[in-house]
Amino acid sequence: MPDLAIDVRGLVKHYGSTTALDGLDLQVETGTVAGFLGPNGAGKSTTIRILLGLHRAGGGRAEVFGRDPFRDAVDLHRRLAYVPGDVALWPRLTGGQVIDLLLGLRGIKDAPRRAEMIERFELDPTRRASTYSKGNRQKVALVAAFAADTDLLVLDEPTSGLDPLMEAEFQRCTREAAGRGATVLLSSHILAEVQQLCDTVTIVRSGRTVLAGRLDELRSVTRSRLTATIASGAEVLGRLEGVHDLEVDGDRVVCTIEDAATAEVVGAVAALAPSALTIEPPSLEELFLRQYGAAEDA
Amino acid sequence: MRSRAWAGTAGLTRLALSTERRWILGALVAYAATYVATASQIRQIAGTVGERVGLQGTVAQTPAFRVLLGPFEHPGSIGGTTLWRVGLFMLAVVAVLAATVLVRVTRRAEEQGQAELVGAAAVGRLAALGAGAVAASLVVLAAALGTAVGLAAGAGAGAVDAVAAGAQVLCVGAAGAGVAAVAAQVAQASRAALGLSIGIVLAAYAVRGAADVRHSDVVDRLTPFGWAEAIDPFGAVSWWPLLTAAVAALGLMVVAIVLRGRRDLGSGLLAPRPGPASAGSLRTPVAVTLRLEARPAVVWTLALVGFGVFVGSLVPTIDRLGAAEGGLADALRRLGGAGALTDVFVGAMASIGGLAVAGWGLALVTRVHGDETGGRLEQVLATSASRTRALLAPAAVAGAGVLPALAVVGLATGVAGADLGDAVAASVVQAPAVWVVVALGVLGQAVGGRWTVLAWGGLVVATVVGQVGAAVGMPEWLQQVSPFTHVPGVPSERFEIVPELALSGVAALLLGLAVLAFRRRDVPR
Repeated sequence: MPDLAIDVRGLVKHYGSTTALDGLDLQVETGTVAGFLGPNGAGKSTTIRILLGLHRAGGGRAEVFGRDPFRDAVDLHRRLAYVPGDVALWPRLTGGQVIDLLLGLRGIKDAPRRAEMIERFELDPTRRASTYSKGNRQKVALVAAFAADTDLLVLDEPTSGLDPLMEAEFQRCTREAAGRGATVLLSSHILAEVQQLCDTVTIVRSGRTVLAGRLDELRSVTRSRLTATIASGAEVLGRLEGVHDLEVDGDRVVCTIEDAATAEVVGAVAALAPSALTIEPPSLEELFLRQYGAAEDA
Repeated sequence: MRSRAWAGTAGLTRLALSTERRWILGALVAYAATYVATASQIRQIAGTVGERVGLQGTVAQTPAFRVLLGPFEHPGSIGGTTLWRVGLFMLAVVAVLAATVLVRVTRRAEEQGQAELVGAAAVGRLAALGAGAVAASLVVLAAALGTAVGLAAGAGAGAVDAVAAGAQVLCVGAAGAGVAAVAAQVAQASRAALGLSIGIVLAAYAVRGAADVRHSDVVDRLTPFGWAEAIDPFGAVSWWPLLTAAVAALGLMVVAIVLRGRRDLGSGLLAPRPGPASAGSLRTPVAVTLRLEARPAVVWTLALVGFGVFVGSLVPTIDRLGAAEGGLADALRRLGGAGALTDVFVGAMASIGGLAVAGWGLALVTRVHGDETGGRLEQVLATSASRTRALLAPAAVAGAGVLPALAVVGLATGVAGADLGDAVAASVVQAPAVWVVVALGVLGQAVGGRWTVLAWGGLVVATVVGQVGAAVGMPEWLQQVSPFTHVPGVPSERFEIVPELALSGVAALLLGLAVLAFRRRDVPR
């Protein structure tokens, strides 16, 4: 039995007559980076609020480090850092003040990487929060989160409003935190980001988990799609290892290929002198859309 | 687990003290200044015991004054008279102040999202409530201190009486904070929480007013205002009501704590109701202004009717005062010029009504600044709405609304006791002066940045120079600065069209300047 930092089973939450969570499952092993995906209104933020003890679970089980996040909220919060997707700050305080305030409220006196993070995120800590743009407000919360060691990072769409350079910086910081042994729960809409950072993904829809697993395992379920125009002899491709679903229709050839077989298959296709060739990489997007498409049809 | 729920209270309290510092210091200064200023005014109007006893037998006996100011029981000292003149009102204000600060620290932080950031730190569920209670208590303490110091320094009150007056503030302030603590748990929106608290404070004030008119001490003692009156500074001082107030405030805090423990962050019993899914006719800046200002307009109308009824109901008493030549009659004449005392009174009150209407107009046009800092103005200007339209839509609504608003004041005054025709005329002639103040407000919004305070500055100057200035004998040229000074003093003076047209012209000029200024500046500034 692996050591679970977050263990959510059959979580239910109603707000009046609306059902936000309807039996959601989410397991995050200690020391891993977990992606948490789903469309707007799927219940991601509700789950996170329950994990933070801000909202109370209506049914099912939610544990953080084996403890009840509602009852033991304060103790657990000393071990975690949270970055919301829409950071609201105190307009009259400066960015630097807010960073210290957030660290202090977590019980941290001296944050070892405060100055480094301010520099890396190119934040001016002397400006008042009311003068910050959305991206800068986001940076304040990110600096406070990464400035000190923490056991768990709860990130709810943390890069909304950041420019691509800052997003890359965020990814480096997350990797470093994971390298120090932190567990990361990353809720995001940016699939490329999840694909880059995460070991596992959990996809939720309408308050339920529709797919969960290690990203490399899930990827192998979704293979790259190869489309080529080959005058003749394309049938030989079917004999290659790692080639599936081969369809030959005149000179149009479509098949799916496994990651590992890419080089061999491309070599074989090249030998057949194709006039056109595209390979769509195995993307999380495809996985994501397939899950949603399927649920949409149902 | 109890102790864990309060974790982080100290940290949040420090934060609250830094964000709410202005309120605490402001309460101290405002309360001290109000009592010093009122005491000096009382010395002028009713400096002798005889004059004050006369006041007690006439004006103070009218139901309108008993409702608003409470019974006048201690005319013997300047301090007792000062406390009668503003005491109850300041008690209502301290309840509202305490409620405001408590709601700002608790529910508003939840609504705006800081509470979520904070709640994810090692901070307990009740910490914000604890910090809010401390901050609200400090505001109440500051107001109580200001009251005691102001009465001692300004009115020469003795230590016991001054401290007792401060204790009155503690009574009502603590109750206000307790009510707000519960309201902040019940209502989901911070505005609703504050509105609920203020509504309860006003209801208590009204119950106390009715009880004072009927001389019913039993009903009176049901409200915090009644507890405060039972302390009786400048009379037989009693400290027991403080205990009643402490028990009530603690009880309300316990209710708030229980409610907070049972609810999710950000949720409440009174959730904002869903609205229409589509905008309908809500497609122009004017339509948006009308929609957003409809509810405040109802509140303002009720307040203006209340003011008119109050003024009208005093007219019969003023008639009786007519023969007397005391300090009060002189003071009224200084406010409103020569003529029969009743006419002077109606005219003077009409200009105060005009200031209130100007306050409504300013509240409406200064929304532009809120829209600008909130980022909404950018979005509006990014559409096909021109800058001129965005700026002038609230100005147009306010400008047009001034006439019916003034008519409402006049009608209420007339129906309640004054001559109907005179009262409506006296009120409506104020319109051009109100337009000048509102137009100045629009100019402030147009220039933007720090200049937005120009809006309220105009109203403050008009009030100080026009109302207080006349009473304390400010030089004539300085009084001319207020637009209200130029309005013909109907009904005691003849109506003249020239100053009315001139004031309207000034207002139009200010609006023109506003459009020019707004066209060329950065938005947001």
